[in-house]
Parts: sequence; C-alpha cells; structure tokens
Amino acid sequence: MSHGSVEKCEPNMTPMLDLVLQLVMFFMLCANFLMEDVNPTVRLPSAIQAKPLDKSEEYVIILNVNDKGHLLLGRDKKAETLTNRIQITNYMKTKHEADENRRKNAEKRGLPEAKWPKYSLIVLRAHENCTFKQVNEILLACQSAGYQDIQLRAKVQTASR
Amino acid sequence: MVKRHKYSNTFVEPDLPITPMLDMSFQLLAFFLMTFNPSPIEGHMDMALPKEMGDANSSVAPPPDPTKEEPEELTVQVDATDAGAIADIRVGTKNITGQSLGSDSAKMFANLQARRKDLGDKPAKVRLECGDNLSYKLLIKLMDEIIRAGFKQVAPALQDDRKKK
Repeated sequence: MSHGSVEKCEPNMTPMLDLVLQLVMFFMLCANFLMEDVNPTVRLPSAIQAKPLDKSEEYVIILNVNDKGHLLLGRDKKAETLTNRIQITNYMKTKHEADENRRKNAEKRGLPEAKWPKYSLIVLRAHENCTFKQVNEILLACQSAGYQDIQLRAKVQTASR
Repeated sequence: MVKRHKYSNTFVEPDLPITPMLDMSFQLLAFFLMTFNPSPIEGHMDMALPKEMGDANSSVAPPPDPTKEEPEELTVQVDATDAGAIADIRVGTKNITGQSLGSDSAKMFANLQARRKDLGDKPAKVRLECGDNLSYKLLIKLMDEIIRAGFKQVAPALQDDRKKK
C-alpha cells in the first residue's frame, strides 16, 4: 500500500482579515476617547427641535443637574453635589475667573481682541424630573457669575407624527 | 577554470503570513468593542435669556438697538400643579393676559401657529412664564412646541419674576 503525498489544507484568511479590519475601522471612528463631563445618571428630556451639537466651541462647561436640582461635580453616581445657589454661583465665578485669566494671557501675548478666547459656553444637562425653579436657580447663578451663553441639552427625538 | 554558478530562474511566490496580522486585528477589535459606548444623541435648545450686565438681580439691560425692528413679544403663562404637571396655559401679549387654553399643549401650539401666521415675517419672541413646580421635562416639551410653531426665540422665566421687577 503506498501512501499519497500529504497536501496542506489552509483556509483563506484574507477575506476574514478584510472584514475584521472593516469592523475595527468602524469602532475606531465611533470611539470617543475625549470623554465629555457627562454624567450618565442624568436622564435628559426629549425634544424634536433639539439642534445637533456644535463641536466647534473651544471652551465648554458642562453642568449636570440631578433629579433633586443639585449640581453634580463628576461623572459618578456618588459625585460631589452643590445644593444651593450661593455654592453654585461661587463655583461658576471660579470658572469665569479662569476664562478671564485665559483672555488676559492672550492680551499679554499681544493678540488682537477678536482673537482672544471666548468665554466658555455653558451646557446645562438637567434631569427631566427636576423642577423649572431648580433649573432657573442654576441659570441665574450662571448669569450672576457673568455667563450669558447658556444652552439646555435634550435628547433628540424623531418626530412620530 | 572558474566554476560558474547557475542562477535559477524559477519564480518564487512570496508568502505573507496573514495569521499574526489577523490575530492583532482581533485584539484591536476586542479593545474597541469593550470600550464602545453607544449613547443617545443629544441636542441643544437655544434660549433667548435676557442679557443682564453684572449681577442677575440688577435690572440693568443693554439699550435696545434703534436700527433693528423691535420683536413682537408674546407671553405664554403656564400654571403648574403640585406634582409638576401643567394646570393651565394662557397665551397673550406683553401686557394682555390671554384666555385660558386648559392643560393641553396642543391647543397652545395651534394658538401660537395661528399667531405666527398673522405676524408674517415680523420678528417675534415668546416669554414662557412657568410656575415654580413645573417639571423640567414639561418645560422642554413646551419650548419644543413653541419652536415648532415658528418662534425661534424663547425666554423661559418664573411666573413671579415680572412681578418682582
């Protein structure tokens, strides 16, 4: 009995590699390494007319407000909270001072005023269960600190009708 | 006599080992799969907050620009129940309180849509005065309806603010 020569049988890996690279590219494009200060415990209300976010803003301060109307200082469930208007105003004033310092540095570098960094945009992410009075307190605290550019965030809802 | 070396002209097929490359790709894929975090798409609602210089308690406002047409101001007053729901909605102008439309925001939408049509191209803004207890979710819903009715400038405020000024 003679044995025939053994032929090596190898599966063709090239299409599999091609598909895996496609998947890797997809997840790379969707990955967001620069995590925003977004607290996942804050459940936003939905709005059909919510406009897409403008990513061109250089300086953004994200304020997360829980269902009790308290300002959360972090992304965790157990993040430190600011509960009254005075605390929130003081916090926003320190942020405003940082913006002022940034602008002063630009002035010292000799840049024209048009090229100075703008004041930060305030993005308010408030839980849908808090009251308008609680949100209004935070808005007033931001205005007291000197901020006028404030946006309310909502989940984009597709129109059903 | 010098021995001449014979060079072989047989074609050698290059063999590229795909297996380590595939292995590395699976490693990358596993990493991105584990760090993938799909979140709901977020958007923003623009507000026309009154510009106040310095302390928000001061009533100093920048002087109006005489070259620009003064926008028509409508007022939507929303009373809230203790539970945060809408009790009553009234749509009026700056100095005239409108009739009660009940708690249905669809009536408010229809009323505002009709007013927008009457105003034509004239710029207009809406002051949304809400009760303290109104739920933030309903506030956003009302702002959404006002913007859908054609009014791009919406200024939310507490119902008592105007009385304090």
